[in-house]
Amino acid sequence: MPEVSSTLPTGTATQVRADRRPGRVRRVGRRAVAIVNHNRLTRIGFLLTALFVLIAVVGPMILGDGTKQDAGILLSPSGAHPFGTDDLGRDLLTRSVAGSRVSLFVALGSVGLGLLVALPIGLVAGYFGGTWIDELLMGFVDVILALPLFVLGLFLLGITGTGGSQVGPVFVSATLKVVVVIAVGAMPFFARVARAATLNERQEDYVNSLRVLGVPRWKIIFGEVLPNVLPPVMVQAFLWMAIAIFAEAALSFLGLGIQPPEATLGNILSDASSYMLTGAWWYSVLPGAFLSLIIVGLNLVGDGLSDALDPDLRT
Amino acid sequence: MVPNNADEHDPLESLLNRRQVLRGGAALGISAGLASLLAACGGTSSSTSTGSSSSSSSGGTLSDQLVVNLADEPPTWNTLDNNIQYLRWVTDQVQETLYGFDDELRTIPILADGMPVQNGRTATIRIRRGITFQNGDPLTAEHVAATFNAARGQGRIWAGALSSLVRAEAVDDLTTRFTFKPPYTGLVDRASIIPIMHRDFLRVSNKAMGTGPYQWDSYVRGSQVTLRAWDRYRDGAPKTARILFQIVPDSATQLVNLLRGDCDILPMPAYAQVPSLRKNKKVTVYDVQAPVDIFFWLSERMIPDVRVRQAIAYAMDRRRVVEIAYNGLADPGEGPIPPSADGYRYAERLFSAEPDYDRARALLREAGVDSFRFIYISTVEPQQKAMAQVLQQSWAEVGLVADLQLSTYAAWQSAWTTGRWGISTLFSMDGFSSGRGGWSMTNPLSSTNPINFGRFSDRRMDQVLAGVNDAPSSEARNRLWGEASTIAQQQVAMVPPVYPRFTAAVGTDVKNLPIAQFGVTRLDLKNVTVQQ
Repeated sequence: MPEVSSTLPTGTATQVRADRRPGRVRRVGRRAVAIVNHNRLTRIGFLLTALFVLIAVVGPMILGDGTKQDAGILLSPSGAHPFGTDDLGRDLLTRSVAGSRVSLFVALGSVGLGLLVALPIGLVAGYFGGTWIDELLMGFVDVILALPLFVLGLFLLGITGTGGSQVGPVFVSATLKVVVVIAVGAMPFFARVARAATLNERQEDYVNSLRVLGVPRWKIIFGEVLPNVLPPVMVQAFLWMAIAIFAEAALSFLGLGIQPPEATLGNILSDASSYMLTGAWWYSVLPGAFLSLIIVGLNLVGDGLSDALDPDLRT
Repeated sequence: MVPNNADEHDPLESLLNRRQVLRGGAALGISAGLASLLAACGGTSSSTSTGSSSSSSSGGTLSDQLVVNLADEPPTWNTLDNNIQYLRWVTDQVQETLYGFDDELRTIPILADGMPVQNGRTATIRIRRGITFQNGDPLTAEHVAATFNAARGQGRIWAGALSSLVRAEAVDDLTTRFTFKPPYTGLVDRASIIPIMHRDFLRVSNKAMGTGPYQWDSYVRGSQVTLRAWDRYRDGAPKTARILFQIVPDSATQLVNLLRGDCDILPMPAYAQVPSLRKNKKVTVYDVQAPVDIFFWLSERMIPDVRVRQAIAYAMDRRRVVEIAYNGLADPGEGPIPPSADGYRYAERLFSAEPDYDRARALLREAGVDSFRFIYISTVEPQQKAMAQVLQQSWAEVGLVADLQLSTYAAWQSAWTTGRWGISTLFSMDGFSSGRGGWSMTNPLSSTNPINFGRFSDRRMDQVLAGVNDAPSSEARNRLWGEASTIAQQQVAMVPPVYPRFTAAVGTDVKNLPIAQFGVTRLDLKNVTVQQ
């Protein structure tokens, strides 16, 4: 095998890839643009998501972090406080905006961390599909998959406490803990999708050719297979961003999430629950609607991407 | 291309399902938003609440059922293993204690036939003749002795409180003799809170049986407990045939139940909801000074300089805690023992409702501290959460930085036992563990107490607390509790910002509810009726 490799002109592997990748990327890109332009729901989704990112990034710079208790308590929406104020006299618009930044961080952080762990596992398991390596890795993934996210959250946060923790020289903040919990919950889903896609890819001619050329396995997996596996995984990742935001809100609602006074949409809704039927409707309805729009936006984008990548799945 | 492997889920199916769910969810969310908006708008108006059979005042007949909502259920129904309020509010209708409290909250005999006869290290209590358990067995001194001997056993909730008790033994059918290690005057306090159990039921945890006016009927975990009137109760059968205790954890649902007339009594509604409950004409809200305590430990281990601890105490905005966290249903705090308990006497009032920032800054300067950071752990009830944030802001005014760690009770407990906190706080109802006594608020401040995780150590405190057990009279004991409380206040070992009040929301159709018993956090439902 090495002899074959050495006799082939350099650039053959690139040629094999070139036959497959750019055409695919172009096709996917064209399809995505077409979907965005022609599917009203996806356009709305992109718009909502862009708005969310803009608010999360820029909003707190203008409005502040929303921790100051400097207004009257439970004031209904007005020009001075468009979302009203909470039970401690804090402006709810400022807190919702500050909360959206935390939500964005949690969404990106947990999905990013989940992908970082899941992709190597899924790729290696898929490439060695059917062998003991595959069984070992997917067995580990299945064990984590068997634990519901909230049980996992209760377990991990119950042990380590809900505040920040010192782990050796590193201080792990409460926010980071929530990110890790959600990342652990997301990881099996990413790994399974990555494995399934890799199982498909390893049957392709370009992979066989690279093997024949003697290209090291790690180069084939991470240099050649990975780019082709990414699109379906990214669809999952986008959908999981919405789930991550929802999960953070739910963990905060249970008192297991990010600690007060830091604003998160979950914390706000958790506090608001005591006032739901006392006439302070703005306290739960407005931040709740804000959270719903973010989640709906991300889901619609995920749907659009999914359609763009496989028109057979359009409904 | 989305992989389509045989051993994966069918992506088309999952996508369709998820998409349908998404659309449905969006529609549902909008509907729910509108519904909650409408419900919220209607919630404050008394005119919108609908009456039901149990709360209608149109008739003069009595309902055969009383409904009480509880926010939680206990892990066991055995009163020797737990004394949480959700347990005792139910079992106190089934079981009785040797002593109880009258309307002035003075101790009176219930099952006992007079006060104990004390003789140095021994005391005898005689029970009333002719009392029977609900299974027909007569109540004898054997049952009393068995209850106390079991209660002091290892792992039982009363083991610490009865650590001075060597044994209890039946002298005759009606007389029980208690022998203590040192001379002990706390027996009446303990006998006022420990229910007398049948000796065959000492280990039973799924139901209760006793001498009380109501009998255990049924229990559905996570849902409800039903008691039925015991027609052979010595003072006559209760007029209300059934009591239904519904377990309703969500405070908004409790409120709806009460306003709809589906609930007659709601003990300890969420403090946030009391103002709106007060506006409703079908509901009366009672608030009473009671041993509803906030354990508020400051750790000597983590904050060794008393001046820093004092600065923390002076910089607390107690007025805002009262107004915001407790909606006015609390009084500014001073030291561990609240006004409702015996021993509420401080040498002087040190802390006012308004924060004294100048004093706090001066103390910090004196201690050579510009800024001080500490961990604040607490359970996550809404009022505890609000209190933590109000205090955090007021401390920030003088450079004190509190890192809040609010969590479930289990997580709080595990953090508390590590001792790695500056302030640890817990909301607790102590009427069932201390009665009117100052036991539970002061005992943990002894340097030898195993739950003194903040490692507070003061020789004078230890001497005072050692004297409480063998104080020659209740007056002397109250004086000692006052001394202990003053030391804790001056040394800032435990300084709850406020003393919360016991609250109960009661339908106006509910009659004969002894409100005075709220002063020891109790529900006495034997004479309660509900007009139909």
